[in-house]
Amino acid sequence: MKTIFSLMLAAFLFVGFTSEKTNQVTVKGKLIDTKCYGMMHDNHTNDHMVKKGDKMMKMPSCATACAGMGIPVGVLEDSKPGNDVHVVIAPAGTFAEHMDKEVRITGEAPYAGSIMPGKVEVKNDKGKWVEVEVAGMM
Amino acid sequence: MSNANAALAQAQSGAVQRYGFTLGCALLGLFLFTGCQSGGQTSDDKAAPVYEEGQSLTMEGTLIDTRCYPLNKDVNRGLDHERPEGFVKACATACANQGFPVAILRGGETDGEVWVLMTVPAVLADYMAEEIRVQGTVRSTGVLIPERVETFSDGEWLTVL
Repeated sequence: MKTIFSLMLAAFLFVGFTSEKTNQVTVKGKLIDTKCYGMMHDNHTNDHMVKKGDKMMKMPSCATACAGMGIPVGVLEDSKPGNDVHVVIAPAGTFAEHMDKEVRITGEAPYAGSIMPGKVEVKNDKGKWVEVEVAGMM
Repeated sequence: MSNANAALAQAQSGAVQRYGFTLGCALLGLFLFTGCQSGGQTSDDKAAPVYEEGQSLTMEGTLIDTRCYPLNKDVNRGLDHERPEGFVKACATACANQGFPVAILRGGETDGEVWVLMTVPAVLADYMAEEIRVQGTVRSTGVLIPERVETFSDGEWLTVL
């Protein structure tokens, strides 16, 4: 009886512990411009190919320009085209200078496919994570 | 006397066993209840509609500010919001102008679907908390690339984007 009782107690505590709700998530990948990437998955860098009439034209630093205009930015998970994209719930303009860089964002995910950042880190040229300030963070 | 002691000991042992059994049953019940609760959630998730990238969708709902809505789903689907720093008038408009993505709350209910709109938020700042109709393309579930946004005014839909 003691053994059964102990096992049940352990199982109950385990379930209680694991079912505790925590909305904190961390996503890692590169910062992309959601508009141009949505049109073509090759547009995951800073320079994009965009359609002008019947022709495709190369637009240098397009991601930076789009973020500067306010088009929401996203994190392309593991930087692999085709992977999930998490839209960042923060002003896009504050990310403009970091487009196409590796980022690590920790925060809440109140909506499907989005992340509300609590902490944003960008990998610098030396491969080191550096925290950046974003307006209106939690 | 020793017989009486033995009987008492046996009775106590029986009581302990019964107590243990009852407690065990109660814990088992609680355990199964907790399991069922989490199982039900998974089942609900599976029942949620699945949307595919590139799919065309048209939906109606309320234009909301994605920054404040999760803080208070009842109040913060309107124009004025309750925030940790206090009650902020015209907060939705301010947030959209600051660049926080906007979304459509499908159906306008607190437990409705939220679809974040991939567009410049400031463009829609003047229409926050209004009823809108969006025609667009699914980027992923919950994320929509709008092609047309309309507001309902004087009995008709007006295109604003």
